[in-house]
Amino acid sequence: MKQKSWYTKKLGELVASDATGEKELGYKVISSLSGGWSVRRCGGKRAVRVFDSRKDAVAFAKKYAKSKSADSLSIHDQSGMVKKFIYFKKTD
Amino acid sequence: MGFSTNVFINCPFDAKYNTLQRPLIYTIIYLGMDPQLAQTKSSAITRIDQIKKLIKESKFSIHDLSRCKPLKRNELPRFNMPFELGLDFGCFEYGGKKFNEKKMLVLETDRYHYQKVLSDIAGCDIEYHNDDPNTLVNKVRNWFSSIDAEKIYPQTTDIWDAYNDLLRSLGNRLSGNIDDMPIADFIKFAKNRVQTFK
Repeated sequence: MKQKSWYTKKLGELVASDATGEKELGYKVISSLSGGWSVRRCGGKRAVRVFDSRKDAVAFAKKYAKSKSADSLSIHDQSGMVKKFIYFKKTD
Repeated sequence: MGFSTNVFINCPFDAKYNTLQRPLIYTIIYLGMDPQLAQTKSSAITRIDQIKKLIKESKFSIHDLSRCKPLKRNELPRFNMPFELGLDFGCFEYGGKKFNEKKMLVLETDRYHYQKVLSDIAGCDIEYHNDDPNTLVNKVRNWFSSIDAEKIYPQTTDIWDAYNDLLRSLGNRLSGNIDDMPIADFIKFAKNRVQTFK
């Protein structure tokens, strides 16, 4: 049976345009090669901070992202998959 | 794109291997290469002919033998991967001058498993990834870097970071479970994205 196609030109362009990171300020918690967990800005070059445990990294990232008026925070698992997506409400 | 940038990928195509297959493919695309999988090609010709064709068209190949052993009790080991490695090795050995420049990387879960089941390949480029996607990215990146000492390759951290960002975007933009996405579609998304920010 032929599988349904997920890719469309429009979606491909949208996903690609996210890579420029200009539209929103996002942070993420991802695993690092050393075995720890790093908090990083999406599109940023360096980790904000690296932790031994994912739990500590998530706790820090939530506070830090809010303090930077971020739009969102994604929490990834060891394989890179997003396990949780948090959107922050903006207050003017 | 062509022989010098094509990378034949010989790995399992089941959902359990998704967590390793996707970062493997993404790393290849990020490094400017073109992944070649029998799974993504037309079914107009038989699978074995498709594999032989891809082997002949690819200078590089990555063979992941980590799933050649039964993962559960009463499960049978799978021989497709070592068979395809044998075909590729045959092409390298007996295929003529053009194929002498072929480069092969064999991946395993742990360091010494291959010595117990396929000791004849000792001396080939063999790396282990511990079933960890980040380690896999690192080993593949370092292997390409070791082949071409002149070329400067991106750091593993940059590739892993960009891969996580892609999954973040896909999760944000798509309504379905990414695990169900056909690998051919994942390749299209990945290529589109890498071309945009590079």
